[in-house]
Amino acid sequence: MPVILQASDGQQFTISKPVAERSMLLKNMLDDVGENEQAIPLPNVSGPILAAVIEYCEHHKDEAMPAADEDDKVFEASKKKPDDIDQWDADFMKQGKGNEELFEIILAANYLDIKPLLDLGCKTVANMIKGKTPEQIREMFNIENDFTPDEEEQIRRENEWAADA
Amino acid sequence: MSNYVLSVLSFISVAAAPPAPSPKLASSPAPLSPTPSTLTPTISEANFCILPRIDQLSVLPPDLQHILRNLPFFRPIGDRTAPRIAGLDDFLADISNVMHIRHYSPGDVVIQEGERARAMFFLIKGMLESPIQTGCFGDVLFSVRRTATVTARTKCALAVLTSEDLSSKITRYPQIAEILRARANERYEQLKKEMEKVGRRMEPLSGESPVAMPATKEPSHGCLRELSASRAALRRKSEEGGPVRTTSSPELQPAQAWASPDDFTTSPLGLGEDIAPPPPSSAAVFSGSESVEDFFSSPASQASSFAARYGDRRRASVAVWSDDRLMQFAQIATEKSPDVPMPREKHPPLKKSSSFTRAKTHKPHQRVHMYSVAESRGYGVLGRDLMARVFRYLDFRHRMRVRASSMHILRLLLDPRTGLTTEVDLSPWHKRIDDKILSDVVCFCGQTVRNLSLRNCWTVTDKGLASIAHYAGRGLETLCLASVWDVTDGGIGSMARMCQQLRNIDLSNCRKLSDAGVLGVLDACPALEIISTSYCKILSDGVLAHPRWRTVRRLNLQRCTGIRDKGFGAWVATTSEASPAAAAAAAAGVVSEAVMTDAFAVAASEDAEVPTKPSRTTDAEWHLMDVDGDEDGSQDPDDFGSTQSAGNESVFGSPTAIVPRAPLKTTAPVAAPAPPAGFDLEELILSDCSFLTDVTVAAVAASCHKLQYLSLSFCCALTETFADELCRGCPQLRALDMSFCGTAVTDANLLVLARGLPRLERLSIRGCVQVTEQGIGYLARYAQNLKMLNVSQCRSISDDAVRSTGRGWRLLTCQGLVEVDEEGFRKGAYEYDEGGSAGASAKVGRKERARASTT
Repeated sequence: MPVILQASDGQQFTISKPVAERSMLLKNMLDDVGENEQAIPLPNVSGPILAAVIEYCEHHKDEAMPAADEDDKVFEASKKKPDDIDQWDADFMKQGKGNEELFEIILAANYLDIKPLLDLGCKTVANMIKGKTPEQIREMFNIENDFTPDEEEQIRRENEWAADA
Repeated sequence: MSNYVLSVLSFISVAAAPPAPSPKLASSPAPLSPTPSTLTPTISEANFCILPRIDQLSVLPPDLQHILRNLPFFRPIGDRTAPRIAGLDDFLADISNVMHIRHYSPGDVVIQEGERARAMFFLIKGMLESPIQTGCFGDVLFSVRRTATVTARTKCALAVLTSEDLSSKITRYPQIAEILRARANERYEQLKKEMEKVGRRMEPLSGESPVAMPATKEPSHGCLRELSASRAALRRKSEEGGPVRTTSSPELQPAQAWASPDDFTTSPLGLGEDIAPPPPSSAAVFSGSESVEDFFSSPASQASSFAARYGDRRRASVAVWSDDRLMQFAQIATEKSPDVPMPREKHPPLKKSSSFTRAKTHKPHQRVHMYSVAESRGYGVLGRDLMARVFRYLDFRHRMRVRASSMHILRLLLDPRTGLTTEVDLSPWHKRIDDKILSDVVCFCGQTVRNLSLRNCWTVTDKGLASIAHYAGRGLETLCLASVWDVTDGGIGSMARMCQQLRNIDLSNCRKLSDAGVLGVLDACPALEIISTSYCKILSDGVLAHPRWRTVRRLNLQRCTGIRDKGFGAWVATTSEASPAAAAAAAAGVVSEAVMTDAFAVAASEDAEVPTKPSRTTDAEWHLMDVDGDEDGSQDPDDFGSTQSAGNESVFGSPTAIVPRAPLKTTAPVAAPAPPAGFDLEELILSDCSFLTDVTVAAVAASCHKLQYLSLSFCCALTETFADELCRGCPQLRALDMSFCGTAVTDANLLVLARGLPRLERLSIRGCVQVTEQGIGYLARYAQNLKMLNVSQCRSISDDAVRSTGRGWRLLTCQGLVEVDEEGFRKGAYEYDEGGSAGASAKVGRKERARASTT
């Protein structure tokens, strides 16, 4: 029984149930409502982003799902090797995706509750942060600088040891 | 007396308001009592006193006691001729032991208005000032909030007595407690009058004595953490709808920063008014003898070589006990702030030069939740929780770097729930980490830090330890100081007193560490479970004579070559003391004599101080228990005799291994005594302690019955005798490393071990050249739980022989057994240790990974 997803822009995607169930949100929903031919509206995810998420889920559809309560354990395991990203996953995150797409995928993974994709996204973003100046980080995430100049100077002083090299 | 305090303190205040010296003070005969003139706040003049050179946090010298004793504070009220207060000397000696020195540079904030008073300060050197003109300064009241901000005018050295230390000491001195309380009352009345004069109201003292000290405190100084907290307070105010005057430096205008009406004061503060003294803070919790805080000046009349030697070259660390509630505000504000726009003056909003704006405009689908969420831009587009998730993948250095992006981010890092600053591993940057940087880091992270690793941070000294103690203090559970080799006994001991929650400390290769340092840690940290002092070669036998060893679970003494057999005798004594009933039960003597082994005979002759009798009694008891065990497995002997006759003979040919059992059988019917109160030790690494003999193994066996992991590798002095002792005392052993104990490990001994250690999973007999394939045969037959075996460098053992056993052992070829990874091997016993980031938790022993093959 296929599952139909409808993105925020009205675009519809028909996917198999195992693919849909990579998302805990969808899995729980499908468990609750049972088989349903109606499209599931996902007002928080745009078409292009949903397409990318589905691509990811298709690729990983045969892998074992981490149990919900094992989240931290899985995280601990993945934390030990932060640079160890599966090649396909690395390519998936790279291909033609600017920061906005990347962030939207993370937000979508968070919303759809797809832990491995969320972790992959966060890991990728973390790697992007490395080596960036505070100003570059602010720009990257559109963070407002709410420091006073004095505070900023103090932090800069205390961060000298953490500067590049 | 309160006048005295008043005048002493008011020299700190600005010059315009010198207090009139009270008549009582003027007539005081106290020889060292400062005259009013010395208290006149002339900037060029500093108060000095002579003190020997002392390091931060080191124990204060007797001179300080002398100075303290001469304070009029400790004279009975209104009776200057009264005899000395009973117990005063003891009390002063007591508190001077727990006091420590803090240094301040000009401009450093010593006391922040509005903070909960937590400490009593004794000015040793320098001058202080209060920016607010007021006739009085510094509250003697117990645990009230500070009513003024005090900053250092010159370089200052202050002796600090925390209220916790005081209250812990003062319980033994009821008379002194009474005096202090009276002083505080006087002081309070004084303060109240002054306040009434200027039209302010003082909150009544509560008659009750609530525990003034919260369980946790948040020490802080005027650093980023405090900035964060004060900004949070500001934000909180803005949430309440009031106009906010953001100050460019909250530190300098605390009255404004703390002005949240319902939190710190009951009356509105007169912001920026120069003539009015600040209102007293509210919440004057009068807590009896719980705490006292005040400033004392030490007598000024003594000339100072102290300053020359002591004062000028030290960089002060700003140190203020701050209000723990600030952190709560920080957290509350952190939670609320997404909806609250930041008040802004200094920075124009970041130009949206990125494509976000355009994307928002031109791509309708991207409008959804990405930009519509009313997220504070302080966290950026991903929002708070996802940013926290991203930061989890950054190492600590990068986390420190991202804090520079916004105050929101900075505070996010400090939120204990994110765990982003609970694990601090500085070892990857060990060459850069010095005392100053360490101080900044622990100041920023404060008591959020649970695990701190300074592995290989060679340049860190006792001063750095003082910072750890001061800022991370009670929050710290795991501390790795491996190869921080300049730290001394004094530094470690002082630090430990402030870090009483420590459960795990790694002092490996702290070369200056001697017995006193380790004993100091044991004294101070009741929760200590894991200790490594490997490569601390000047440790001696005395270090093992501490009752706390009983509750330690893991101990690494690798290459502590100064510790000999005699040291472990103390463990046997400790065990016996803790179990007098067992000792008495065994005192019948017959059993004791029967099981008196060669090893203990050696001990007795070697050193008369070894408590041979207790060791024998405990030992005997274990013989009794062992007999029971033998009966359970009574089907063994037949089997054993018929199939392994050669081995059988060789075992019985060894005089010490089995013979003592014979008389034991006869005593078996004696009612079994209660299990002895042995040690909790589960893991013991004695690798490379090449002077240890069978006596030590016997002592360990007599005291550590829960032992699961034992390394005796390179303990070359061991003989065959050890195996029998070990089996009797430590039947729980799961891993045993006997590599390169050539004399001690024979085929016969392997038989003893295989039969006597039913839970053995891992065994290394690497380099034990006496072992033949017959020994392997014993293991195959009797060591039913054995899963990993290291027989590398055993000449007489071929791989084929091992393989032909059909046991499927995993064959190791590396050093170390416990360290070899296998899911769950040690996990169950040490859950809490698993979450730590690499290096933060003290790794015991070598880090080599197993290059293993499965047969």
